[in-house]
Amino acid sequence: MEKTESFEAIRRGLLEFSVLTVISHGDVYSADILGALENTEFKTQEGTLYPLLSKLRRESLLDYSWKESETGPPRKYYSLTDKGKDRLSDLKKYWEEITKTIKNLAK
Amino acid sequence: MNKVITINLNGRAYQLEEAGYEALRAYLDDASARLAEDPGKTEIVADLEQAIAEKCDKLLTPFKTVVNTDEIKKIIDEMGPVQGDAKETSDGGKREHQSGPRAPKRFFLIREDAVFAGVCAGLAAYFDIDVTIVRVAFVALTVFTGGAWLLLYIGLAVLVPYADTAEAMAQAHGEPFNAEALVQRAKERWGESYERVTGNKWDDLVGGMESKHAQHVKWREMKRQQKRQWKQQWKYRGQHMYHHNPIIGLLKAALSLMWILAEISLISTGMIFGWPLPAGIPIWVAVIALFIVFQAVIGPMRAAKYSSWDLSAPHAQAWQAGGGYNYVYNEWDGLVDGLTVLFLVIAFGWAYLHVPQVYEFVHHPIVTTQQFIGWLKSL
Repeated sequence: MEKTESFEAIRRGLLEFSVLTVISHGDVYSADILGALENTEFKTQEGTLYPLLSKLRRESLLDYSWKESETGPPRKYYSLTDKGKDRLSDLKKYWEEITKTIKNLAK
Repeated sequence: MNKVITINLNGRAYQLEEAGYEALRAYLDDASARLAEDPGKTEIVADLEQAIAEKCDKLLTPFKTVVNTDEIKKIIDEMGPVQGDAKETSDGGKREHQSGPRAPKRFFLIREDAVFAGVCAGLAAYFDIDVTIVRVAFVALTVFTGGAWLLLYIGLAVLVPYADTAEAMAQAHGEPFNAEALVQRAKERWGESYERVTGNKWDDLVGGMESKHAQHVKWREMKRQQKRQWKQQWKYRGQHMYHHNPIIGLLKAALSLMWILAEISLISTGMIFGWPLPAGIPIWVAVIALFIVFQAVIGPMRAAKYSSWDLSAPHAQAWQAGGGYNYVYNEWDGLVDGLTVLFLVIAFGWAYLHVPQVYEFVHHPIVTTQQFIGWLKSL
């Protein structure tokens, strides 16, 4: 599929959605998030992800806990808060509505 | 062989090559600047440092203890540009292309690249063109205006200040201050954080791991060395304050005044303080000659200033040339400069008397230049 600059806005708008979706699978480490997005349209770098995670945490959509690591210092493992889970299901519903609308418009 | 700098990333010590260190410092400074408005700044920067540390860990083995410059650049590439508060990213990718705040450009004389006073070097830096082009243009304009253009040079040399501090140097090139002054600032900052990574902390980190004992010893030795260098730098700083002795300054000012008066009297009366010029010498040649003699005389004085000046205003070249913390200009450098200029003056005088083409050029600059251009065209 052709990826033009104009899709960039959509991609950026949906990044939060995709990050919340990845975190909804359970405790994940920031490298896991980057890895999950690696081969998708939402491929992201630390420079973008960390400010986003910080913002989502401030909005209490997610939280983290420190876990010991075998190879280095303790790591932050992220998980969704109840508010974050609500937000994600709202987003999913909204996303389904939007895709339905687009399909209807195309008919 | 490259110098290695030890840094503290989230409480762990890493050794980087100097250039890599500078690149990383610039990246993190830039990240901090972009996140200035972000309430989670401290946390995000800590996370970024952690991610960098982990990427470094992957590259290091017991036999490879230093992260080299290319590796650091690759890591920075992987990290990607830091985006400020997510709300602000709606203005498209523009932010990604922004670099740090740019200092306003100012015109300074740059003595490091100077032949005489550094006017051409300063102009070249200001307009971001090659200094040779500026020089050729200046010489050509001087010739075509029969020497009048030279007055502009002299005026600029007298009126425009030297870029004597790292900040002025950055402004002369219109570069962000932190790029040029990074080395100095970073070293200062690093010196502080360095005290924070004390031996104790390192001991905790190493724990009982005997295999790292050798590393530990090496690290201690490096720490001692760096401390020595720091002490030396501060010592030199102290000397610098002391060195600014008023006698050299007064002497230089008196000589400058004399020279300016001589030039004025030469231009207005065609004589230097009443002494007529030797027969056949045009005024513009005498103007240059006076300027050159003046430069030759104050050369050694400038050297005296140089020897104390360097550490207060380290610039990229000096740091690289010295490859160290305490590179000091050799006092003889200035004298050699002066003697070289004097030698050139004598050589020119000899050529004037004995080489007819040079004599012709002095007396008929435009005609000779036209002939020269004609000769070039006929090639």
